[in-house]
Amino acid sequence: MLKQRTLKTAFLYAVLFLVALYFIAPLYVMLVASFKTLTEIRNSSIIALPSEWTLDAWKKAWDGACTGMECTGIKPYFIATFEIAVPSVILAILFGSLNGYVMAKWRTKAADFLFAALLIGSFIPLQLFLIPLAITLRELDIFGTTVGLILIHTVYGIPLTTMLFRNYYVNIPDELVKAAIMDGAGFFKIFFNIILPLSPSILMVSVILVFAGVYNDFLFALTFGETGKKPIMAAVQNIVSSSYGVKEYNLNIAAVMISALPTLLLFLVAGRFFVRGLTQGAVKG
Amino acid sequence: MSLELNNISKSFGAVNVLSDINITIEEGDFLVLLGASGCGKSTLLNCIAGLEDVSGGELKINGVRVNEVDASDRNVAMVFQSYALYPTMKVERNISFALECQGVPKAERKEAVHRVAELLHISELLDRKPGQLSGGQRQRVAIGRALVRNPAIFLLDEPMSNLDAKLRNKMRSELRDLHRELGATFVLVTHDQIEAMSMATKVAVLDQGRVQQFGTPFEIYHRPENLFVAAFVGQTKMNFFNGEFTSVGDIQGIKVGDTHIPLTAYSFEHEPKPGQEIVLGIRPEDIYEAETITPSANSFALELKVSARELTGGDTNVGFDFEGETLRCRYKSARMPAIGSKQKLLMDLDNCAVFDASSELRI
Repeated sequence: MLKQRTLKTAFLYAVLFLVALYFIAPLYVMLVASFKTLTEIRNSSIIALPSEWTLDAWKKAWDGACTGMECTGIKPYFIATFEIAVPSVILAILFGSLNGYVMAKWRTKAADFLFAALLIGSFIPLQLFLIPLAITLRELDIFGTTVGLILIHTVYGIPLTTMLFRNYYVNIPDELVKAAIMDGAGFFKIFFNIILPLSPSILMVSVILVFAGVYNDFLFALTFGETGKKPIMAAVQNIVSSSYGVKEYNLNIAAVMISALPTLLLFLVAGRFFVRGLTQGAVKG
Repeated sequence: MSLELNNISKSFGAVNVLSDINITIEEGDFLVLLGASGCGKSTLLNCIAGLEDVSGGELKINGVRVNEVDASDRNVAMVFQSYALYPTMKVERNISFALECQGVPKAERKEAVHRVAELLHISELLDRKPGQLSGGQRQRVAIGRALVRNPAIFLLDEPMSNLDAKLRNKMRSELRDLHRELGATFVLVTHDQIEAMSMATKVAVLDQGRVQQFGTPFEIYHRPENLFVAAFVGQTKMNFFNGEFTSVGDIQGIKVGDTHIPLTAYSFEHEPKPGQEIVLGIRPEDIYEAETITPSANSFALELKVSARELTGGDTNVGFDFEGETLRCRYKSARMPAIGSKQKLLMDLDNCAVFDASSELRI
């Protein structure tokens, strides 16, 4: 009996180990390759450790790699992405939490309809929006600017954040709002003093989801990005696909790794809140 | 301050939750809105608070119409069933939040909070968050939050339903003391008739969105105006016997099955016609063991067989077969009779109530 169970556990762990290996192996290969020189990549096995560790590829990817004519590395694009992502995240969360607060706690007849409309909006494929967006941005005279991209990402993030916050706020007892009304607090006073302080976990979830969405966006970045200040995903694509001379695998890998770092770090730091917030916000609601 | 509800009605869409509510209380009254869940009592409280608009009628506080006045400007404070303490704020800020909203300076706020905290014995809790408090402490904080504003009227929505029985007893007397000390007007919603009886100066019994009876606790208990109130109020349910209003010789009374119970001592408001279907209501505590009291002119003797008994502690509820129905009465536990045994009983008809069978109103 006991032996059978040990065997079962051993088998289970073996399977888990293999699956983990399957997912980690590519990362390992990339990491190793990024620390090798180009010659060594060509001549050694892909799983071999570098004979001589070098950071050259990383340095070059950061500020020396060429996209088209310019050889600035991904640094400016990296910064540009944050210039877009940070305001977008803040705005999308600000509006989304206000929306969610209104929909959950100041119920009007329109609230359910609006909520349904928002949900449908967030399920429509992005590509459908491209042409209307292009026209809108042109009319507003912000086509191909950072402001334009911020606007797009804010608007596109609002349905998601609204849904998250609404489902989270629905579980906050109505009596809390009623008590605050009796105490004489107004709409915004209740929001900022009572509702918002209750929201750290759903705030983290929203930051992660919206940030990852903006950061990983390729379509809008490519279409509406400012020349020379294109967001990182578009820039990385340019570096990787540029076809002057030899393919610098170590350089490409380093560029991709750098660009993947922020979201990875965010998940590692805030993942705890993410799981907690998701179950609170989405599952219960 | 006084509170006046004139013909208040409230409907949600097509559903009428409250209709024809007429209640007037004076400054210093303790009004209890008593009813089963779903009777509309909490909605009525929300209407008084201003959290719900009334659909019709007029609401006056201290003689001034407040239908259109915002909740925060009505000078009323509310204690919620769940206490609704702000979870992220310390007790001190919870209590002072209302003053903060009014723009009271910080020093004054602090003083007010300490005054209230001392009154409620929660001074040592001011630095804690609500999550670190016990149920009883939370309730005190909730009361403190109402108290600090010095409101004209306190509204309490089932404030003791989340407390255990022992604590409830304690809070009941504390609340009563507080009411006396402050001399303010209290309105409390509850489904617990003991709370209503023990704390109220006025009780309104609600059912299906209507006031079934409004009066002092004594009146509610001893002079129920209809069958609903008679049945709802009372720890052990009142005995009801349907019968015909008839005379035997020149003694008027009710004929229940083969038994004729005289009602000569009962003062009718509307004397029934002979043959009319009426209901006799008599409380279990008005039926005695024959040996324990001396019969008076208005007591009616019976000899019945014990059909059921239930020990409740000091008393035993004993059920008897009476004309095909169960007659409940209360015995001292030490004298618990055997099932099937015959017992001599005396009904004290001084406190009985008589209702019309079809209108269900007291006659």
